[in-house]
Amino acid sequence: MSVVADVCFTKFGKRSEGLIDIASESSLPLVKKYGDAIDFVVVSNSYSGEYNDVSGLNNLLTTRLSLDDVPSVRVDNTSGSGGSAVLTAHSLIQSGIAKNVLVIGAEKMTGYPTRKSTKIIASLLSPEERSAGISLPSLAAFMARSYMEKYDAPRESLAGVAVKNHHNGSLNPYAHFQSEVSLEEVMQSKVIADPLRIYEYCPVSDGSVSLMMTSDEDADSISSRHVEILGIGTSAGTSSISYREDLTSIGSVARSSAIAFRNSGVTPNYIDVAELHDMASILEIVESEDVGFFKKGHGWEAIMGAETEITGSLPINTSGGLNSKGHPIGASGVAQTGEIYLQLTGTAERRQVKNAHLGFSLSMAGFGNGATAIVYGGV
Amino acid sequence: MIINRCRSCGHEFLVKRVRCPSCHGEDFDQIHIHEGTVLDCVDLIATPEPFPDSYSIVLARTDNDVRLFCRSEKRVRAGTVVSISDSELGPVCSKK
Repeated sequence: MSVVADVCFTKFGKRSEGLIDIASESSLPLVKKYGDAIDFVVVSNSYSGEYNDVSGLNNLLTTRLSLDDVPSVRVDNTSGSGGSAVLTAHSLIQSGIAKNVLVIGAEKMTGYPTRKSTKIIASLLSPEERSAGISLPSLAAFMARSYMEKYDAPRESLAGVAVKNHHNGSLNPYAHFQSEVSLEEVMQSKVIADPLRIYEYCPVSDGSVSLMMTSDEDADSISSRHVEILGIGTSAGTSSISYREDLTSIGSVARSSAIAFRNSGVTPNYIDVAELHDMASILEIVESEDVGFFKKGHGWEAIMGAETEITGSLPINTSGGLNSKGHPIGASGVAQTGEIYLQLTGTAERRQVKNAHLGFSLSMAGFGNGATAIVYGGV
Repeated sequence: MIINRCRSCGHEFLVKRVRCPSCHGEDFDQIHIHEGTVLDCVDLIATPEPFPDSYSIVLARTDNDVRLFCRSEKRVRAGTVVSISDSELGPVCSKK
């Protein structure tokens, strides 16, 4: 079994530094603590070529950290890179190939006009569909319209996700956005893709997060505070979005979550805190159902009933989520694991969930093109 | 607009594949699609390069149940039959 033994965040947001500088900022403190023990580095990053004109990021980064001879790989699975990187580290440890893996999630995305950035991210879509002018935000709008119609969900329930997550982000010193928004502000903000508005989408952000992962046998010698990965599941869905019959459900999320819960021996109702992939407000609601937290068509009621707030029965996205914390793509899934680590070790400070013993994270690639679900516990 | 039809089982789909998702056949015909029925339509304000600053995206369905996206200058209601053609940037549609 693998464990998360430590975490280090940078501030997310618009950063003046370059990609390797940002990645070094989160990883150097862990290298200083565990340097000689690190025998593998997994770098989660998706767009270093497109945004930063950099290839071979993992090796450039290990040299920057003077870990010149330590083997490394870069994991690119678009928005789901972080979950895939944790899965890779977990597999390296489980197989015995590595004992102590440094996972570095990093992305530097700001500095380009939004239209250029939207084009870069839309490059994960098939050419036949991209040529119609679709973008990831527009797919979320289709999902929102279908969901509201099918389940009679009020528009305010979607906006409520943004209100909740901006509140949580205001409690997270590493979050891109540090202020709350009201329901009125969300509902009156600029439309991006009808019906969804700007506060309901994640911003374009820079940022980095690093994790120290090791085996449970070695955990005590590495760190006094660690969180076990009890179960991990991964799945995929077609990259052809129009080929999917139902836009109110994400198959890869449901399948990866079912595998993670089965492997962990835990059921969704026992989870105390969860991080989901809320690139858009509607995604948090749909995922909360596909993961198994709420019955299909009832996730919106949990938002309206405050069940997913920090003080609710199942807090979701206590970090602020992608919606408020920001979405530096390669860093996001790693940050989800980092937030669950903080929550389960009781170190989440102002956003700490009471009695958090079991955690869950869902890292999603593209628009459900892939998903990695992780169940945590053992503290 | 071109879609693909499997020569073995007749399954039709939009995105190019080298193996049929239904029967695993490897030979395909390309078929021209000229119309579809609107399933839903989204107005997009923040658009990607190199497309215009705003437009509607239509999710439509062909008579043989192939779903596809195309761009429209105007919003169109679900159930509307639209003509589909190719522009320099990609597929566009308009109310028939």
